[in-house]
Amino acid sequence: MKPMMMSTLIGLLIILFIPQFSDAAGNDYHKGNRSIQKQLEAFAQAEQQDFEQRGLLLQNQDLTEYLTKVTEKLRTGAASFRPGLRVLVLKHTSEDAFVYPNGICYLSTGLLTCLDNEDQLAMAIAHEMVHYLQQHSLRAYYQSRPSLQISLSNPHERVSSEDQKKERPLPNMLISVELEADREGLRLLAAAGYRSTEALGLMKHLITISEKTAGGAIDHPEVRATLNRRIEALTSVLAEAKPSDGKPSVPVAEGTRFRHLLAPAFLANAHAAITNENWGLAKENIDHYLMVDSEDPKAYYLLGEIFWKKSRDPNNQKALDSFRRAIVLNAQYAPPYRAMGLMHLKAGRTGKARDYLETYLALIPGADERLYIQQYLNLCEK
Amino acid sequence: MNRHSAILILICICILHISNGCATLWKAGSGEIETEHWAVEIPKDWMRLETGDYQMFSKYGPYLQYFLIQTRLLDRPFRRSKGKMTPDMLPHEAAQTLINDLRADPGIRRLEVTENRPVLVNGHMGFKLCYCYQDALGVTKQTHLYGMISKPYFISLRYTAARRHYFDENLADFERVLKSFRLSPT
Repeated sequence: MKPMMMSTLIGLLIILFIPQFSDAAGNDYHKGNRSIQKQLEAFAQAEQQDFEQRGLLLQNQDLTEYLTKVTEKLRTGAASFRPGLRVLVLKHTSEDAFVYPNGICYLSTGLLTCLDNEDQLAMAIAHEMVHYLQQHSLRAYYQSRPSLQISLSNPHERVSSEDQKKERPLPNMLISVELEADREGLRLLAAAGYRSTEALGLMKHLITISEKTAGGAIDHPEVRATLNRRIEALTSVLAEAKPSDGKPSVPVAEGTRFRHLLAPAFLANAHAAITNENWGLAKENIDHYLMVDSEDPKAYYLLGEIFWKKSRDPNNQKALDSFRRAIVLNAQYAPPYRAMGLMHLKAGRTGKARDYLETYLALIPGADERLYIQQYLNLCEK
Repeated sequence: MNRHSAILILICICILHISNGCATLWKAGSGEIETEHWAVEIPKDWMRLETGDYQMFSKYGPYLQYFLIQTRLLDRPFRRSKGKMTPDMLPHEAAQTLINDLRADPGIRRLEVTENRPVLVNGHMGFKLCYCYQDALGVTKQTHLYGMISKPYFISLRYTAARRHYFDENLADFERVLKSFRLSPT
């Protein structure tokens, strides 16, 4: 899967920036491994702080609890002493999932909003869980440092120079860890009682997405080839597995109930899509969200933003109607007042602009953009 | 002359040519600088680099500090965020478009916007944006940026320098440059 592959690559690019570890400890394999692991974790932490500082994390308690619950179900099938995985959500429209060596896994809102049910969500998490539990990033680090010549399987054995030549180069290794994550992820999925066949459903979504964005950033022959290879491998594993009746052995969320649980992701993804001027995606996400909650003023505000910014017409009636609806639903919710004030200002209706902008500042006197709004109010006075 | 000597001479000529070519990219940039779109007064001892849509000025080398004056067509999308400025944008919208692009740039880490407010630039409504960030090498940089829409362009004056030592040293120079800035009548 291009997104997961690229995510792993991104994680590994982080690794490649770390200065080469000098095995001054000689035969002390475990000490060396722990040191590298700590370096990787420190780097991961710096990246994660950056995400927080950029405001990329989606903070929603209900969604976080739901993702934690799914992760815990999968964890029961994993035999490992490593601390548990923690799943967070990034506000980004790309369909992405990646995990850091310190056990923090990120799912993008773009990925969450393309899933059909909890089984597919569980497969995405299970895949990342395997990367983490099997320490694939550490393995890739060593793969990228052939001079270290330390065998992971036997700490007392040094890989001979002849064997080094036979080692698979890094790109092949990345593909093999993806296949391993799929295979073992499927095992975790089944052990937790989810429907294994839905793993294919997830992969097919990703193929569809890569086809939709043909010619775009994620359309690449190697990526497509890897995705297809993974589908083949998964199909083969599923064919060998015991046939099931297609029903999960644990309650899973799907359809409206699943969308309800992921609703915050739809809203956040719509917002991210508006920032990227991806109006089609933004509208699609808002429509999904409104099916779950048709009385949320924030959704109508974002809908108004879509209509207005797409048309760039300060007289756009759909935009004005959406903002008005948001105000009707909650008269104390400030952003639609600002939006209407700015629309009227741009249309030359300074009287109405003044009324809305003054209301906005009355609701949020400490607004970040209050100096701008005050300047615009001065323009209305002239 | 044997073959070995000929190759050595050829290499030396290439090196001279390349270094000479590099040297001519930067030229003395002090005094009144006038372009099709704007004019500005640059302090003494500064060097100037001119490219398609921007002019860069530096005293100690662009990695340490520089002024950059950019004239950017409005409908040109920003590289990372793909957002665009539009002619009808208000100053805070233009500022936000820029901030979105900064946030989308993976080379800019720990971005912190410390100031974002409306200003007049040569009598035109614009914005002032102050921010600091860490670059790929972990060096903390600080930027003061003044921007405005002057159809069909977005024009910005930016001062970026390493926060430690360099930024404060040349801030007064930048403010003089800003004060001297004027848009061409056309």
